[in-house]
Amino acid sequence: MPVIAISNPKGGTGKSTTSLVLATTLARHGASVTVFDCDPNKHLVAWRDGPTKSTVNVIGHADSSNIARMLKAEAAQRQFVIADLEGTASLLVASAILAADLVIIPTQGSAMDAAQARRAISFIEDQAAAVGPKPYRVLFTRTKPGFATRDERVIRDTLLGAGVPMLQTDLAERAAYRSMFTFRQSLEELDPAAVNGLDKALENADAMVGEILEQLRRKRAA
Amino acid sequence: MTTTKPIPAGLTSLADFHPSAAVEQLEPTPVRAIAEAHGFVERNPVTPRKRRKGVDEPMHSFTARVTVRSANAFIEWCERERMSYREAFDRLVAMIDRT
Repeated sequence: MPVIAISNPKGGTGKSTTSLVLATTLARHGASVTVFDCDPNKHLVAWRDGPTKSTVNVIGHADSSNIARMLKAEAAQRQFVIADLEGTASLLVASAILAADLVIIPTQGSAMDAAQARRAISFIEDQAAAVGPKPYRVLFTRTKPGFATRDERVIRDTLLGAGVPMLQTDLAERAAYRSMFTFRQSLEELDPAAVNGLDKALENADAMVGEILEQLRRKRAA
Repeated sequence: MTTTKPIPAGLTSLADFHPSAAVEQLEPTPVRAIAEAHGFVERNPVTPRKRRKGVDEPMHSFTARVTVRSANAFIEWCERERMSYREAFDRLVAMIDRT
């Protein structure tokens, strides 16, 4: 039922990777999941056309006029609906954010990513006056496990100081996440002998998804 | 393959998440005004659809004198089927192969 929007108006912040890891991890744990691929590059549609046996459903056609309606309709069919939004500030993105129960804002440890993340946050906070508060969390992506760059530390501290809510788990830089797109399979389908750090990637995916579920359960209980 | 690590507590059962009972009637929201104030604008403007479809193959024009009876029947058929003269002619030519 929950609709989760993955959004950052800047491209290349890890939105599609986050969406695919989230969707396939939920499916691995037995959930029914639909992902809306709203990125013009259609990486998730291409993934779905590959050899994967995953049960994740991918929808690649939606526009600003129908995205909210389509997300709600799909939420009546599936346990989880995820919207992988385009890396631009568009009306489609705004409509999907309004229809979502939770917004995840992936960002890398760079000022450019963080600036655009702030833009998404400003929109979410301003629309709250009209349609109510919308929970959101910033997710750091492509981080190096056990090591934070100086830029990353500064950006984290700045966001924290501004009261921006962040997921404690990062989506780390892992070869396995790239391999999902290369071989068009989910993590559990990849060959552990051919993909480095697959067990760590599965562990990281579980931790990230577990934290997102915690946010959703908390919202439901509120 | 399956992970040998213990499954985090929040992932052991997802049965508490289920599809919503029915599609809600979406309330109109001032999304456009708020979105545009933050620079979220329409990136895919509506483009007019053209009804007339072109063809990829070479074209040829010719004039034929036909009876009024045939011309009327042909034009009425095109009107009824909502097709152009070219499409109608193609359909007639296609019948040649089937005879």
